[in-house]
Amino acid sequence: MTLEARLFVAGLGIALLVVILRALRTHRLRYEYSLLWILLGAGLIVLAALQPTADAIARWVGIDYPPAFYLLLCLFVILLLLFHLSLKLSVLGDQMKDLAQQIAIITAESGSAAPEVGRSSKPGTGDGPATAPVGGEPA
Amino acid sequence: MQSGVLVIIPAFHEAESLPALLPRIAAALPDADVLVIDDGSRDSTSAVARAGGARVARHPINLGYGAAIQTGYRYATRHGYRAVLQIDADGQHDPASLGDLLRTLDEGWDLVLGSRFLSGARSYRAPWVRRLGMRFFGAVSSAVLGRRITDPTTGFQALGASLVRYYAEGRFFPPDYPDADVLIRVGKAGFRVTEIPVTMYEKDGPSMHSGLRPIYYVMKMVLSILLVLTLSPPARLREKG
Repeated sequence: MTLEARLFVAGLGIALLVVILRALRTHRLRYEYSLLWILLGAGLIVLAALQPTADAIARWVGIDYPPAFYLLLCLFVILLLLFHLSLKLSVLGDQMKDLAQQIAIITAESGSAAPEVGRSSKPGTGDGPATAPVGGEPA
Repeated sequence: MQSGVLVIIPAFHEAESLPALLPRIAAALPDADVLVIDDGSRDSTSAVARAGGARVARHPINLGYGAAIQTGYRYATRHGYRAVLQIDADGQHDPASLGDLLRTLDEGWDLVLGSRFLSGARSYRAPWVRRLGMRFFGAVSSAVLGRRITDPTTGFQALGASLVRYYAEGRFFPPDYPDADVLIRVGKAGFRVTEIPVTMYEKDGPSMHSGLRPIYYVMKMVLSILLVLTLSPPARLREKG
């Protein structure tokens, strides 16, 4: 890797870190989601700084063409990020389900109609006031 | 004094079928409470259900069949019902069989499945993909439960209070379609499961097993069953007595 290429990679890493830190400062990104991204940015800088060492590691693991090794590392970190997001989506999905179920149960108990998400202002959707007796729990 | 029996009806866009269904349920089980879980329908399902004398728990968004019945289990647990009967809103299940389900439950079972395929059951012929899946997963569940299960995917069921609580509190309960994997888990947890013949009619309209769904369904089921089989039996939540 030429000096220019190493400076370019380091520049990309620094730019990524700046974007992440700015998002953190303005509270547009949660800390829990920032760590893997910071790892990726820092990784780029370390790679640029210690390129001969990285080349040696590439050959040590049996990859003769070091750039392929760097790409593999980047791909791995990106896959890790995607998996992290899938985990978070699963948690969010469960939490959303629990919330919606809770709303449904509370509205059933109060006899009122649940809010219609995204179409609350639309009349005539059929959710009138309760017309049947509601309540009366089994002893 | 209520009977302590709750009939839960998961419903998504069922404003047309509910008016015919609700009076038949009331006729079959006059003392039972009826809860329609409207899974975020955009038609008048909720209003129609209330007009028919049912209580309505309405999801503000569409969550899926499994989440809808789980809302029913959570409601039943909160209100201390001794039994829950579960029936589909689309008219596929004949409410006349509700009494049989409840009577069998009262013989001491935790879960009574209404089967389309037991001898005596009438009037149902599923698409072949679904039939194949039900046959295979039925065989797996039968092997694990040590009891012949012909219809593990049935939504026509009676459940005792301890199983209802197990479902209501279980993080494992799937938001889409509870299937043989849930049944296997229930069997491993020590609940007593049986089947009785019921009358079921073929569904009109698009099947959930169309397009790429069967592939997803088979993969999910195989994975889920493998995971359930490798887990140690989940903590039993049964009540004493």
